[in-house]
Amino acid sequence: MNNEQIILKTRGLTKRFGGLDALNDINLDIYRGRIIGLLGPNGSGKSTLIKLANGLLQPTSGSIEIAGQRPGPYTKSIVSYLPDRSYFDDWMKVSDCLKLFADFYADFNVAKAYEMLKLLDIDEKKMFRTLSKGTKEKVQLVLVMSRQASLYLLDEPIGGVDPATRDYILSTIINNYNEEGTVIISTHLIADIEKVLDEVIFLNRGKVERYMSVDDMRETTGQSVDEVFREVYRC
Amino acid sequence: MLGRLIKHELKSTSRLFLILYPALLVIALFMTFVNPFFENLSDSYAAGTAIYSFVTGMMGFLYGLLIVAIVVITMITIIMRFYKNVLGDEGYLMMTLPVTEDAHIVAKLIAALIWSIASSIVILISILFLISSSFDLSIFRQMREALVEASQAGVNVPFELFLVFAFILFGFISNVLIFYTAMAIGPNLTKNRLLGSFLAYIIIYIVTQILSTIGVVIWYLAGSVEGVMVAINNSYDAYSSVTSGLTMMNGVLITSLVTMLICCAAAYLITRYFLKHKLNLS
Repeated sequence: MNNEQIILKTRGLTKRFGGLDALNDINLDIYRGRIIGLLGPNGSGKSTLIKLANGLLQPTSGSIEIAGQRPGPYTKSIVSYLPDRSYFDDWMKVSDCLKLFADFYADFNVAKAYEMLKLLDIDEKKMFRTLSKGTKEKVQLVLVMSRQASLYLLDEPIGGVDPATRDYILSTIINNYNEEGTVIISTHLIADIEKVLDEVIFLNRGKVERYMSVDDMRETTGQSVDEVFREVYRC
Repeated sequence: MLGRLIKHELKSTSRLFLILYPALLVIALFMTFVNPFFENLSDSYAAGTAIYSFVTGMMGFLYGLLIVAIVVITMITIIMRFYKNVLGDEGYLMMTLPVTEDAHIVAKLIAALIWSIASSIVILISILFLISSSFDLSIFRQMREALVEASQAGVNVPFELFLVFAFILFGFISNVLIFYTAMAIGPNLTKNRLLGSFLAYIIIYIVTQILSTIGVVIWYLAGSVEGVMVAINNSYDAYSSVTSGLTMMNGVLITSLVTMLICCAAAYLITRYFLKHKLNLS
């Protein structure tokens, strides 16, 4: 496949904090139109990789490119990012945030966002400070998935929610992402998302342990991703 | 995009101002129109005196409190907005918007400027209300006459006004930018962001004090030689002493202005560098 098809490319990507390597010499070619699980235990570098792709961190050495460009205003306009925390201004209304997204992201579908909020029974006139943690997470997911992005970077989207909501979130992701886009989901809850993944990246202590398609993994090992994960990361 | 950012900034920071501004104006109006009514009351009834002093005392206290609140909250809003919105959790939203670091800094700076001007205007209007009963419109005529007199004495009035205006504007901008710089550097100094920002601010303060002291000394040494010459030449000429005094003042203003501009540029570039290359949200 040619370079056009690569949405995320890293070469020798290294990020050091103090004396610790959060990421060490990562080389990845991630193609368009996939759903990819970014898997690894806590502290393996998942969030660091995602933050680097969003330009929220700068590499110590090596490079990271999205659609052939280093993180900047252009890449931010085609990347839809769900961080692992709530980023709302407590005094903002849900509708204010929808307006913000509509103002800044050309690929944001306001109608779709309102439709999803209605389905979730979330009142857009409410201020964020009156919403529960779970509801804020849902609003954040609605905002992120209402964009027609080329790359979705979802950091622990199902971490803090109950199993029923987890299923809802996964189906939302699957049903709403831009088909030509790539979705990267970071998590350590593998069993829940295994069925939706095309490919998996195993990160361990800042290194890529494995990067392969889920089908290949099942064929070569005869095991599920969850089983392989437990084997790879056995303590 | 810059326009949208500014709009968003103003909207997100307006909450407290939209309560404080009307409150101050209402109190000022009350003091202007209702207090005289109680004053009349106190003339007619004995008990009126107590009511009068209670109401005016209360209003005066509230008025003072609101002025202080507006000044303090304007400052806190300017500082906390940057701290929370860029470096706190809100940074995950703001710093992934498809805009440049320049746009972020400029938008926040312009919003800070707008709120400061708005606060000043509202306080000024409230003062105008208070002094309106004893206000003498001839003050404007006197001011105009003074300006005419000054320009006849050889003063370039528009230029002087421009200098003073630029002095206030860039003094304000450099102060705000130094706060931004301290907060942008802060997280890189210590694990505790707030402590780091304080430390950075203190360091920047010391550095600018040292630099400006050196600047003043150099300027004084260079200027005193010239000043002595001018004084000797014009010691008996009243006309020239006005202009030479002004030359001194302009010298101070222009030197300070240049210093401030350098300060603004340095603070801006450092802030931009740290947001672009050293951002590290917790």
